[in-house]
Amino acid sequence: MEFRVLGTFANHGYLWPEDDFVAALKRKPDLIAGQGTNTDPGPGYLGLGINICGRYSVKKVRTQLIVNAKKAGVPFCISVGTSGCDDVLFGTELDIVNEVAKENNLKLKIAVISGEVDKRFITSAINQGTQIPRLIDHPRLSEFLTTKEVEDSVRVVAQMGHEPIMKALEHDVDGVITGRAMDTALFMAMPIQRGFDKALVAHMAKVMECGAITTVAKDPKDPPKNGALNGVFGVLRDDHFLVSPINSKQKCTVASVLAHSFYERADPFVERMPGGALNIADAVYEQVDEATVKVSNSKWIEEDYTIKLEGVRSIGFRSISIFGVRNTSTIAVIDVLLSRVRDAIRERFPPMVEGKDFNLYFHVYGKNAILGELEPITESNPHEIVVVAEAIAKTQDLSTDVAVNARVLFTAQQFEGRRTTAGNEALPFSPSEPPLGEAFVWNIMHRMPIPDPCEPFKMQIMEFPR
Amino acid sequence: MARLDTLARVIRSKNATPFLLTLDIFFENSESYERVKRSKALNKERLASLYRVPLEYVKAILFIDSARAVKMVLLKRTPSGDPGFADIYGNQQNVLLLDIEIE
Repeated sequence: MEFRVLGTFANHGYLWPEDDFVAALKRKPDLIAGQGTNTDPGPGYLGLGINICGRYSVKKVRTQLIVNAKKAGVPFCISVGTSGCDDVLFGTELDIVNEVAKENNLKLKIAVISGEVDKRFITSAINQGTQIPRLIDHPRLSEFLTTKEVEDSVRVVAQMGHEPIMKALEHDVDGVITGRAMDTALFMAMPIQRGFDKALVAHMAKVMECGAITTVAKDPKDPPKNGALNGVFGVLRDDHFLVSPINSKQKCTVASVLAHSFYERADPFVERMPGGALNIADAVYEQVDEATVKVSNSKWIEEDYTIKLEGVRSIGFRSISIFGVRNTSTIAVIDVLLSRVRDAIRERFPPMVEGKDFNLYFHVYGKNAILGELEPITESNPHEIVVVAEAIAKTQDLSTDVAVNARVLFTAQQFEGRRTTAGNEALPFSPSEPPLGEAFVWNIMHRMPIPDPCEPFKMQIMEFPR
Repeated sequence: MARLDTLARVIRSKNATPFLLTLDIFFENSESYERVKRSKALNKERLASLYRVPLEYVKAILFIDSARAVKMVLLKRTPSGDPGFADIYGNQQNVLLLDIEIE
């Protein structure tokens, strides 16, 4: 038995090449799979209910995938929308699918599965005594999820496993589009349905879900234009799987495939998934040709079925001021000046209280913005720095007010060696204190046991054009 | 003595969830890998000190012989996305490892 999978790069909208994808379709995949949801970009996307990419690029990658898949008669399973919440899935994402269908004269039947979980599903479980522990032992997360935290959150999504996708595939659909899902689930549903070994399926899914990140350039002096931003091809057999690139300038090596299993994971050997864990500690990797790696001996351990819940809560509204400084006499005393600004802001804003009604942060690029207190280099003489002042306050108007007053107070500071009495800073654009909208932090990152893998994830069969 | 930067091919940092930082080091040859392993320069106290976290935040320092790689995992001082921390993906926290002196 053999099962062939064409894996795409992440489907948020990042522009992956169509030519390599079309060429790979000639290798006759049984499935096209790819993930397009992620918590890496931070809490803002889930909080605001927005996608990370603009309409142009999302439509371009959706068109490439759907039009070519339909033409080749290959079903697809993809997750979309970055945070994978309903606002994005049932908003822009399906609007774009509709446009793709219309503009390319396609009749599509697609199973759409929501990755957003009804808050009441979670709170009623908690009230009935279900314990929902935090995913990570970090003090900022409550040890066990509380109903208050669920209510405080803007919305909650969960990483669905492969079961809801398998159920969707029982309908005669062109493809499955999900909101938030476990990345591997998109790759696992079909082969598990066909009876392939779960451990191998899960391991191949894990290797493939980041696309060409698992490859390297054959010749570093002649690398492919798109680098790792490309797809990858997997061939699953009864007791092993093969993985190879879809771009001729790349190759998979034992080292590159192994290195990928380390990528953004705390544990390189065990990966927990809904319903079990993949253990690759004893997996065997062999280089079968210049570009292809064979993998075998992966293990699956059954566990109680749990899903990862993700949620964010609002901490107010954010505005920033970006101002550059080029006068070295000013740069020399930057810390002193910013400290004076902070003191002046404290005096200017009562009854608003710093730390309660607003917070003000200074990120000084050219000095220690990235490492902050951890920065080991304390002596340096940049000729140019940028200060990004960040104000977070209970209203948008107040956050802008704090940011602009901080900037103007900086502009006006008088000090020994000052030459430009016109102003201490250089502003790149206007308005100079842009409001960035509501600010969020992760408050839910917990693991919930559920009796039915499909229950929280609502599925609908939709036809396009609508 | 040699800087870790001169011995390893890849020294990277990345978030593994917004609450954990994972640091991966890959070596080109066994000689460099074994040297770093023997030196014991990569230890919990050193990491806790560099990243200014309590000792118990350092969750793992794994030497993986089959991959000539080291994986280190620590709880982040500031979760990603919380205000005041300017590295959302955690990509640039590797810098603190580059200068580590290896015997």
